[in-house]
Amino acid sequence: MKKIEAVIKPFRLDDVKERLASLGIKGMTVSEVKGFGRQKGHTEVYRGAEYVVDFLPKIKIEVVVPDWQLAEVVAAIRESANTGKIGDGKVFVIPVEECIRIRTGETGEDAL
Amino acid sequence: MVQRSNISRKLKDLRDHFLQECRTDIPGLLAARTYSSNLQDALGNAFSEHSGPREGWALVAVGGFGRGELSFASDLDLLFLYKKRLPPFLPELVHDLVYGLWDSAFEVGHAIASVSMVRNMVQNDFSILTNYLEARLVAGDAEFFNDWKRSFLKLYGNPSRRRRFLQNLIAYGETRLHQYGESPYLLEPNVKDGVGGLRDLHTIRWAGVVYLHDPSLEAMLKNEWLTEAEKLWLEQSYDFLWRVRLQLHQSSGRRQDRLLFPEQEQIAGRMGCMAGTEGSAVEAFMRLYYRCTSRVRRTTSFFLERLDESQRRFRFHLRRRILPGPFLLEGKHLHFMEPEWVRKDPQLLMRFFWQAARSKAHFHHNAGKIIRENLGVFGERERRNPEAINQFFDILLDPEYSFHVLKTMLETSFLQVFIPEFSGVRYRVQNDVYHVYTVDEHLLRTVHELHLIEAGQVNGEEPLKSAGELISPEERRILYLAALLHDIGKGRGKNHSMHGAMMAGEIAVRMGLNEGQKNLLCFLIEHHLILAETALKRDLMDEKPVSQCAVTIKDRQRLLLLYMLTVADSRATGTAAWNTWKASLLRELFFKVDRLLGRADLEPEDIEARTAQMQRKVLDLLPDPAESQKLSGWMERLPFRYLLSQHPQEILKHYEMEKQLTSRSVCFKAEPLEGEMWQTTVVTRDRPGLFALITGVLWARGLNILSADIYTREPGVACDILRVERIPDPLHREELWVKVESDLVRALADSSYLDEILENRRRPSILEAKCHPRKDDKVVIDEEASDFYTLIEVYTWDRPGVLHTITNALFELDINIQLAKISTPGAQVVDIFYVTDLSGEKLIGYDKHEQIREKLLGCLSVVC
Repeated sequence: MKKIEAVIKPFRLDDVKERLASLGIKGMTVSEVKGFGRQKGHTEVYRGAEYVVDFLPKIKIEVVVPDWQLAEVVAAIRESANTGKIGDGKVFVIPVEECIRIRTGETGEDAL
Repeated sequence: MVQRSNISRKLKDLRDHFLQECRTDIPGLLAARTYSSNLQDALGNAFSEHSGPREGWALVAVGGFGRGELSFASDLDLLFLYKKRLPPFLPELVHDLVYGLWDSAFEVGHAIASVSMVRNMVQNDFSILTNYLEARLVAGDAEFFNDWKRSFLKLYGNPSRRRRFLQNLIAYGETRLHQYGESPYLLEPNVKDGVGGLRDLHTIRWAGVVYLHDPSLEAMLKNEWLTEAEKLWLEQSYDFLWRVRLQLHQSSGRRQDRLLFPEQEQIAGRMGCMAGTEGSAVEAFMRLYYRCTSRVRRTTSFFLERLDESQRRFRFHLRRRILPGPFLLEGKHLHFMEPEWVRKDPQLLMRFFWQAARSKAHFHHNAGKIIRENLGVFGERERRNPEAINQFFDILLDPEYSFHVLKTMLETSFLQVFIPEFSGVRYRVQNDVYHVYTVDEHLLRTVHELHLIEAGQVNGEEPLKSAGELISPEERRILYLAALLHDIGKGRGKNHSMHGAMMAGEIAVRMGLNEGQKNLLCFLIEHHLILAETALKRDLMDEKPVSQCAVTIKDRQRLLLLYMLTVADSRATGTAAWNTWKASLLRELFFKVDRLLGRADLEPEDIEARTAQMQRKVLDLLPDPAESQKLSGWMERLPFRYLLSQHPQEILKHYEMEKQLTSRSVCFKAEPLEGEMWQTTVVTRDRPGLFALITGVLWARGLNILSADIYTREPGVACDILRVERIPDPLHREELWVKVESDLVRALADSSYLDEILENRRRPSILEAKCHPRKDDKVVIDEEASDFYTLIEVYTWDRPGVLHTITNALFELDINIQLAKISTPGAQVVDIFYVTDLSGEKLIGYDKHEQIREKLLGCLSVVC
């Protein structure tokens, strides 16, 4: 099992969600996050004064998938979150040691 | 109450049993239906023990379960339907059942809804509607269910709703075509949703439910929405697709509907396909598969057209015209007026296609049937009929409609009747990622690409720009015929061009072409690969391969025709086969051969004179005359090949770069070329293994090398010019070049650094598990192709660092690489190296050749 954490542009969320649903992803967690990457935020001018906006709003998606599905899920996220511009986000893949469904106590991939 | 553990166990047993059965090839549709009805019975029985009230609710199977066809991996779509108010016991019942199913690893899609909720859902969402069209009762109140179903279908009794339904159905088909008709899905098709897959058959069933309240194909036959033959095809295809799908699920162990390369191989074996006349087992299997899906796709589209027409109330709106034949042009659709006449006058068939191209018409959905039924009367005499042949050429040369009409000719099998040689390539598959289309489709696409070239839609550069004006009408006919026939020899063993040319000779005689036309046709087909092969695999600076092309081609007009055919052929092969790099190589070769042919004598030019001229040009460019003495001394020591292949500006640039070597170990430069390509130049002190080092560094930074020119100057200075593509991050390319340069400096200073970065890059990514069909590695050593170098051609499959491995092996064998051409069509790698030994001589000698071959194959078998 692998956990995929994807930080994406907020307006791509619907597309990403749709693509993942079509792959049969059974669940995901989505949170609103802030952060910056290589472009280090940007500056904005408000009432004549320049403000540095260091943290840009992003969406973080977390999905745990069985190993066989990893490649297609990552590819789907990449394709659907890609605008070709700076700030499209990143995908991290993290090994997952165990997964437990609380209600039944099932473990491993069955519990996904 | 339902015995939760009991029923779950029962269903699980059924599924496991079915899974066991699918270990061997079993009748697809029958098995899927049996399993579904077993599940339905088991569920129904479980509920018969249920003691609560039976009125006013129903457990309904929908989706695939409702259709009564399931794979063991399918999800179960259930609808708990109630009248108005939710019966108090129902939530608990659902809870018990669904949890039980979840716990025994069924995927369940369930909904609890009242009659009015269902009505809202289906009106708002087309996919829910199609899901519910074939609902079947599993348990509960039968009378209530029947009432609901009747009223549900009655909703679609109203003509305007029906029309909207049909429009949605057609739109749904188009979205799927758009999504699954693109190239990756052509090679690895989706059995369920793909074009011509099970979904098409479902579409027909849905329409049956809405219009006839009966999804069976018999009902469609009765309404003349399908013909007898079409019904038979659909039944066979239905079964075939299910067979494939069950095997696919079984071998992948999950609900995977895409037929990927590794599974194609497995399933081919399981379904009893064997290597033989159809090529490998996979190719034979996929040929069957494509035949099946293209029939389904075609029949479904005819079906929808017929349905659409039968529902149209205002038929008189369509303009009707009678055309000579007689044919009827109704709106945009062409049809036979008197189908019986075809039997007496078989020429009507060709005339029909001709008329369709001429009046830019679509084909009437029943025309295909008439053509098919009468194919038998079109015999040898008709094939030789000059009128039919002329009409055929008119179709072939029609810039807009040729593809469309030829495709219909192919699909109705008329093309195979007119040119019987075509049947050998019908649905023929080439199992690699390079050839995206089946051979027959590729041939039609080549014709289409020729039309695009002539319409100026390919690129505006010479020689293609004015090619259309330079060829005579007679040559055009032959060119297009050659495009249609160039691969016709495929599947008849090695060297398909040769076989093809022989077959084309017979076709030419049958078509009554004169001797000159016939020779041109055979020539074009026999040599349709020569330009592409030479451009990609030979050094174009070398006179020899260019003059060999010239000797074979003989005149400029034939060269132009062959060039057009080559471009069309490459473009029609697939996305991997055509790019700016290949285009520029081909163009270069074209001009070289053309110049040679234009000079009449094939004597090589005077090299001495040309080098002297080049040296003068470089000196003229020098901004500071004081340095000219130094520069001309420098140029004296340059090899001929370098002087003759580089631009004067480039030479000057390299001179400047070399001057900098006094203060640094390496001088590096990257400049953009056309397309996404870059030219990188590395000037440094020569040392053994330098080229392997450079390829290693570039690869470690994610670059793909297309070609390399390696020049070594007398006092041990190397100037390597590499063309690369695929800059990983075009937005930050400056960073990349800085990194490459610093890597080069470090790797030259410390040999362990290269190993380190290679190791990092080689670390297999968990994301790259893609599998491609593989052919065996091959090493060909050629002493004939060049007078000064030995050619080593390496054919293998693409994998991380393969080029570095090869160049490193050559370095270890004490071989100097002078020039390299690298192409990666699809997942195949074709690397050509022009090499000498350390003293600059050719490698002649059997033992040496064997040693190289052994070493290279050995290295290739280790890297993965």
